[in-house]
Amino acid sequence: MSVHAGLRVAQHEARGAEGERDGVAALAGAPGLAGAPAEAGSRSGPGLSGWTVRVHAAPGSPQGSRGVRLHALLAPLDLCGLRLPPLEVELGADGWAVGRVGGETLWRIRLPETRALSALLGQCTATALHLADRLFLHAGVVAVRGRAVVLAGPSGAGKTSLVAALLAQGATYLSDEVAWLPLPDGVPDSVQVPDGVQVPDGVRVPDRVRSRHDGGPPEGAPCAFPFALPLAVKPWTLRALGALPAGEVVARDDDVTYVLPPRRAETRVPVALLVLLEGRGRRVRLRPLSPGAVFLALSRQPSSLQLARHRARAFAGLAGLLRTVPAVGLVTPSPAAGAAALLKILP
Amino acid sequence: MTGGAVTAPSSAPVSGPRLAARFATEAARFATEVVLFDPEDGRLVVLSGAAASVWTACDGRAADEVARAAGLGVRRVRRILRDLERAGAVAREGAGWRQRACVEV
Repeated sequence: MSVHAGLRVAQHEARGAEGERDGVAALAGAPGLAGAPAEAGSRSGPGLSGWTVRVHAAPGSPQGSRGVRLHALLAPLDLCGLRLPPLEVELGADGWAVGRVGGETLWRIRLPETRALSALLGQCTATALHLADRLFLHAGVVAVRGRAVVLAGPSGAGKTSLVAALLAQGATYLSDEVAWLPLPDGVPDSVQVPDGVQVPDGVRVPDRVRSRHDGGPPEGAPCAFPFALPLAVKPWTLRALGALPAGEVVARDDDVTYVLPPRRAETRVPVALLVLLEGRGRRVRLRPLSPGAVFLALSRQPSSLQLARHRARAFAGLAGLLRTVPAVGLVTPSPAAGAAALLKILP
Repeated sequence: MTGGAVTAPSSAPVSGPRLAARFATEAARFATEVVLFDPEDGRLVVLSGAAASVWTACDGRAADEVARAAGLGVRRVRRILRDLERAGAVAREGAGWRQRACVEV
């Protein structure tokens, strides 16, 4: 699964039609889908708690098979108390896929020849992130001794490999590609008002300029929610690891194997460390990163900072996270060496 | 980078993203940095070290007063102010300099 790829596919296909909505392409007037929705209804097996995803496709067709595998991939997702409106996914015999929420078309993509299932999963994931009132970062997350470690980096940086290596050394799985964090409530209450500036409606101006971080510790420790879709083991991940990670093989999508780790977090976990993957090197190197450096790196990755609906609160949420959670950059020769180094520095 | 500390993603600071002239820019202060963010279009500017000190002192003071408040040389401060102005973080106000209005988080 690749959130990044999913968003990119949607934007590419829908650009010039009716534009995009917050990274999830919006296109009305979807062309007719061949075949009646023959495989409808949400799969209510273990997991997929809080969200209904109905996939419609002609049974027995390649699209029907994709629908079944898509359900299998989404099944472990538990939104931890959050409820999202149902998503209807129509897989047409013409190779197009359409996602609708509440009767409104949110996205429409032509499925690629390869990794079509991954593209679909990316769209469903992007839809959940779009709908949910949470802060997300493009990052893997594991828990070590009850504290979460957020592993951020661009696609291909080795997030999945490092997640798998940490799992092999006893960590608990939260997510492969999505760090899901709470968004702060409401708007910031600290405002600087230079003379002559008109204050827009709805912005409360305090009696004096002050900042939250001057007023004491932040309210509550930042935490990460599980977003436990199966690990997407790509060829380079497999090369780096040497073997598939332990767990159940849930689905295959061309050269991607989806593996569900056996030990998964069931609820949110306080965050102890944010790690930026900074590439490979001959030796393990960990260096502290400033909040500004983290902001710059994360601004280049998919995150809530790019969703217009969430931007203002996402910025406040990320600032809050970086005031309380240390960040390091990691260069490592291998996932195992990187995992071992991180385990040494974690409390 | 003239001021040595005005950074924006994927481009040089002088020619980089410019915060739009609106009220709703957000600012997050850290120990030695200030991060400015425009939620309208997602533009981000990081001020560190001297640039953060200069930005903090921009409350309508003239450049030499900003330099005194920040503990920096006037010539250096003028260069930083130009960078900050190009980034949209400060604006001239008469003979002085003032931060762009922002919500502090």
